[in-house]
Amino acid sequence: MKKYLQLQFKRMRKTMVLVILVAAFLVCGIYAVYQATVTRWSAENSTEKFTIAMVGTADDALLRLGISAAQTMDASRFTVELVEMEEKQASDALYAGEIAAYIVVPDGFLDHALQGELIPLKFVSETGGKTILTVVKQELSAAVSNLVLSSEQGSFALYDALTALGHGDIAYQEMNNLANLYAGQIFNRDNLFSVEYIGVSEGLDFEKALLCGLSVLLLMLMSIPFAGVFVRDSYGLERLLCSKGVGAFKQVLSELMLYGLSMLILVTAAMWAFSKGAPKYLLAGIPVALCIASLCLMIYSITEHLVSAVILQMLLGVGMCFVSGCIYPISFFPASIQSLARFLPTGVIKTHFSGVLLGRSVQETGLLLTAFSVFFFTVCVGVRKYRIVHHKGGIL
Amino acid sequence: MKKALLWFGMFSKRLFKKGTYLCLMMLIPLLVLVFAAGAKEESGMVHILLVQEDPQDAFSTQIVEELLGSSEMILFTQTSQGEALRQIKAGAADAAWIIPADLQAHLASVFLGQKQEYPPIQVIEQTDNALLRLTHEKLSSTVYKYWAEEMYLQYLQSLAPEAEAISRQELMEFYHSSTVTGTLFEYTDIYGNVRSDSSYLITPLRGILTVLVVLCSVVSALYYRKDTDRGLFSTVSFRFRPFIELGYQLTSVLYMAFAVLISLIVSGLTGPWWAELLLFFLLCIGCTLFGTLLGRLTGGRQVTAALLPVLLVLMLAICPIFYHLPDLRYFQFLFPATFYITGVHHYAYIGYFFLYDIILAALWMLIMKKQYR
Repeated sequence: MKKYLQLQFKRMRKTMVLVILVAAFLVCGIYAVYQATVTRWSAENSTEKFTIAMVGTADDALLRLGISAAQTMDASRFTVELVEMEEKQASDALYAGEIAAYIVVPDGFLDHALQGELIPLKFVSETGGKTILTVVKQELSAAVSNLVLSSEQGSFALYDALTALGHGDIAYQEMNNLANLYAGQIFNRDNLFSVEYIGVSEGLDFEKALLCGLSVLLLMLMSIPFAGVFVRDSYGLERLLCSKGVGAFKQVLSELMLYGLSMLILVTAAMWAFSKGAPKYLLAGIPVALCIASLCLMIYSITEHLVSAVILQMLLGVGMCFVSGCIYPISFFPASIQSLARFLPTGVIKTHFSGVLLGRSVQETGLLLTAFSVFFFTVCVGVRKYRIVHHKGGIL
Repeated sequence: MKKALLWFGMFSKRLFKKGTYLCLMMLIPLLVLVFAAGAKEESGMVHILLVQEDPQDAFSTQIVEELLGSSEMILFTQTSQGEALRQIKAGAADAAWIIPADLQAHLASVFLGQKQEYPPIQVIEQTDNALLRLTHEKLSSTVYKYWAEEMYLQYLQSLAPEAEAISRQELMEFYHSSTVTGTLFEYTDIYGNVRSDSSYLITPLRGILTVLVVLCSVVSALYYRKDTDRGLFSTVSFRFRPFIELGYQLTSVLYMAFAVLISLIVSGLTGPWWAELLLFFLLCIGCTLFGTLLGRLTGGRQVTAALLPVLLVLMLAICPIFYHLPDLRYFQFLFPATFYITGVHHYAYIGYFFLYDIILAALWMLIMKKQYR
């Protein structure tokens, strides 16, 4: 077993230098993504507003007055900035990411609105498929739509009601008066509520939760280069070792020890790089390293083809990370997916990291990860035994 | 042509001999289908708890009912005040909106601009962040909608006292029969396409699956190198080696791209059939050439294998999968995934994809000519 261990070490050593360089690159890259996301979404750090361009308002003094009033008096001025642009300019700015969206006001919009006819405004955002930002912008615009339409409905309903009740002579004037009242009241809507912040005493805040998630993604991706070392399509050597007393169990154990050690170094380095304090993370990192190493070894045992191994590893790695809330926060997903994520290895690893960051006991998650490791290891040994006995061998 | 099909058959046999590749191809659409079904359930980026101080109060009830299930961004659930505080502190919810029993009585002073020492609605939040600030607009616009109705009634009754003799229902008919309904905005993307109804949770799947195909092509290049080193193609004439290499990789890419296409169909992320067909073929060719060239440029198998996670992270970060990063938009054109993801929304990208494949093919011919001269 000792000689097999040495042989595996030599095979892995060739890859290790590159893996370390790649790991360093990935840590920098993922940290950059972390910083960019935190800057964008954290209210403390973000001074950015959503910039929305208004197109087609240049010739309408009333519209421009409305925009100016909104930008000086309305509470939304702290989160949204309205600027005027031509359509081509706005389209280019959207594509370049200089604005979040633009609104095209069609010709005659106000004239029709004053007669109770609503021509929809074109709200243009994003340059491709639906993203989180698209949903956020739509939510914001839906709130604006609600305010404007409610006011319009009330004003025109007043006109219709006054006319029906025989007050047609004052209907138009009072409709405008009510519309002005509504406009003033919209600016006062912030008086409706008070906000109190109580913090999170039992969970992670946004930044730390994101850190945990990206760390898990990093570790799952870091194991891909080892596929070339551990995927095998013939078992001649393994059969020989078996005949010399190094059975499937010892073979897999040797591989797991080396792979696990490499992952442990990476796990500890990743945890230290993101939040200082290597010694306490070393112990907490052992079950994580074992779990990832044994999961990957299981994938390599089941697949005998390098292409299948990498594809499956990527699919499971990125797929499980996505569903476990490592890329989007877990709270974004429906309850059923959140429940599933709790039992996935990536979900448990994320919870484990959260516990470490919060200074809580991680015995439960550590045990769960160890249980996962035992399961994956058992499958690995079983498959190796089967392949040693039944594999036909050869390169075709 | 016959020989090409023969080689394709042999490569396919080699690929499916182990069985795992076939299982993988069947697994991908299945996983996508399960995830897409799960993603259709109620969810939100922000979880807000609605607390009614008096559940019998009709006014606050109609506001709560309007809020529940009304937003893609916000998941609203109803609970008690004590439970709400517990959930927020535990991180299970982001905020709670406590709606008082006498909200209706306060609205006049709120909207008429009287400074509130104690604003009627209490909002309790975990922390201050951009998303939660935006939810305040949802709150105020929803309450305002009901206030607008009250304002109309009060104003009408002040102008026409005889209206007090008419039932509220009759007066509200004028309000609800107004022609001003629907939504103020029509949502489109920059290419003029009307916004799709697909969930933001499953939209990244198209990108993730495309990255899978690109990765498949690079790994195939690795595998080809391994087989070449073993002497598998030693009997093949040098003249045909480049085509054998292409055919080898195209075989695995073709099947993987087909599995991805099936997955997109089951998840409802496809565009017009003609665009999908064109993109499918361009993807297969583009990924094959991309993988071959990358394998050549990186040199050894170990370097290529080590670069796989780098490539993966680069594509996940740069290509428009989760976010659109305008500063990196020119780098996006390095990867075939960008064209496949965007081509379904913006048909000009199908043309760009064709151009991209031509450029890759030209590079490939250049390298092959040099190598096999």
